[in-house]
Amino acid sequence: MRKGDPLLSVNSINKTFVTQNRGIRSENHAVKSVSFEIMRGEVFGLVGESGSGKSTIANLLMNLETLDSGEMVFDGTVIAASKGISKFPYGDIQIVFQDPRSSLDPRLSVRDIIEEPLRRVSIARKREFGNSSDVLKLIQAVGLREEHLDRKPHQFSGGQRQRIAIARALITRPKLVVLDEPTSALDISVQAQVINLLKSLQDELGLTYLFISHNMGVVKYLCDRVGVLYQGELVEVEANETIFSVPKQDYTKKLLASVPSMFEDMEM
Amino acid sequence: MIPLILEIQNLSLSFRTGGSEVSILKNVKMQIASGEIVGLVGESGSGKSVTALAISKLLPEKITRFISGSINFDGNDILKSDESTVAKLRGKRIGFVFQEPMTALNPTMTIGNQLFHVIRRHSNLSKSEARLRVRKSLEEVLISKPEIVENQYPFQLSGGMRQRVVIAMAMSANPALLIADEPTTALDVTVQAEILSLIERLAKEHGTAVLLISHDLGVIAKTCSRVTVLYAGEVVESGNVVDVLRNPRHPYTQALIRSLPDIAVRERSLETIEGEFPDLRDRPSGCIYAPRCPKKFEKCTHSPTLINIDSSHEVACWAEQSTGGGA
Repeated sequence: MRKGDPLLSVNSINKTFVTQNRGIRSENHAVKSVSFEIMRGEVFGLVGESGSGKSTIANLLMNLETLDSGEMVFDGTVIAASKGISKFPYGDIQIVFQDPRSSLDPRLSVRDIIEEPLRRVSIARKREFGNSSDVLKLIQAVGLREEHLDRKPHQFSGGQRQRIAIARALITRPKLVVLDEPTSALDISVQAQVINLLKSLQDELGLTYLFISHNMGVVKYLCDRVGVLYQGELVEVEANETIFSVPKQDYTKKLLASVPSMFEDMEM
Repeated sequence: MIPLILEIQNLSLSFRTGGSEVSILKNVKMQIASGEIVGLVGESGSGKSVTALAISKLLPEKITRFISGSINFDGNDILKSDESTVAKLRGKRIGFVFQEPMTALNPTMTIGNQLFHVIRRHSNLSKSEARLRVRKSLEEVLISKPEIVENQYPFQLSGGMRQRVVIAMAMSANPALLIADEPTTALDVTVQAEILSLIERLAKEHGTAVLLISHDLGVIAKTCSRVTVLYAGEVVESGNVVDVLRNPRHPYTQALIRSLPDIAVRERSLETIEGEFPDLRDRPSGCIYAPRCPKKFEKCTHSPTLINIDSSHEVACWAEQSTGGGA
């Protein structure tokens, strides 16, 4: 694996949302000249509070929003620029959302949910990966069983549903997986299981993650490098070891100091 | 000795749903003294919120069956009291703060008017006196421009500001007990820190007892003096917050703390809890945690009771009780 060269380069991207309320125009500059790179094989964390632009960046990357300016280069190709999408690499970038209760179609069977992303990828790719043995392998890889494939989402617990969402993201064999608060809706003990799963899948499949979270404990455990967003700006990007021990920016310091820890005086 | 404001003894209750009876709480006990902040921690389905609602008899009457136990609040035997007696306690002697401030507030009423109604309902103040109290309540929760906020609607405020308003409302009648059910779960960490210190300060100033429900052990550690750990509707461990969180004795509490990523070494996998949450339609006999417990032995087929392992720490575990600490 070519670990070390950038898989994704985000170059001074901007996004402003304009709303009209009773004729009054208001602008929300959600993402302000944000630039960062994600290296192959790394886990890049984006942290920040609500309104900091975390999810907007995820949506821009997933082609769910369009850029105002700047560009995003994925695997050597410009995938998003201000003039609209050049070529979105369906299947190469996949996402797992926060709440598996709302991100899984309640009418579909687990099998159909996992296979659905294949509809958008090229036929060549489908032939290569998308056969039923792949679905079977994946459901087992995420810790569920074959008989679960014919059930519907409501028959599963929150943690199991998130496993299904992870399997759905991996069916196209993506290079980059965006994880948008993937454990925030889960209980502590279930969170640990899902984090372990994400970690082992990353090792086995050589995945690259963009991990978006407000949970500093999870970020510290999982991410190699971390970017801190504050009101749409990326105020600091540092390696894990640096950012949690010697944060440079005042906002990062405040953010870390606000996290209530039960381990305050039992640091390793 | 500070008087107890709340004492729950051996509370067991079940819900009847769809023809079956689901055991929700079994022999829950906890105590809170005036001015004390006590945490109630557990995962989803552990019975945290049900316990809170039972204290003020807010559980749906049609499906709830109280099996045994008692709830004593400030001299009132809640479960034996009729609705009109309990209704007088709600809001006045027992204040509530819930997780989502937007749903706790009336979206069509200004903040000032909502507070005004609450204050008038629970006091004998005249209209003009109540107006002054509205202003004072908002100042007390550190809202910097109360004269502006009074005339605003909930949607115009941030989540943190809304939760401040809800706290102002809950505290306006100077209750003896404040029940805060995940009061900061919907908020950002920097705002959470402000709200928690606000609750701490108000409790101290007014001598209010607080029951703080949270799934976040960090929140509990920072705010509470004592904590009760619930698993599947049973108290597994309880005591001084430092003892319970630093030196947990129940295998469930131990596993819960070890599964936190906060101090884990990155190279190693996080510890997880094997097995699944028990089916409460058919509550297993014996220790509730035994099916998932690495330390289980023959004795665990019988239900353990909470035993003091020292003066400020109780645990319901046979392994702990037989290996030492001593009763």
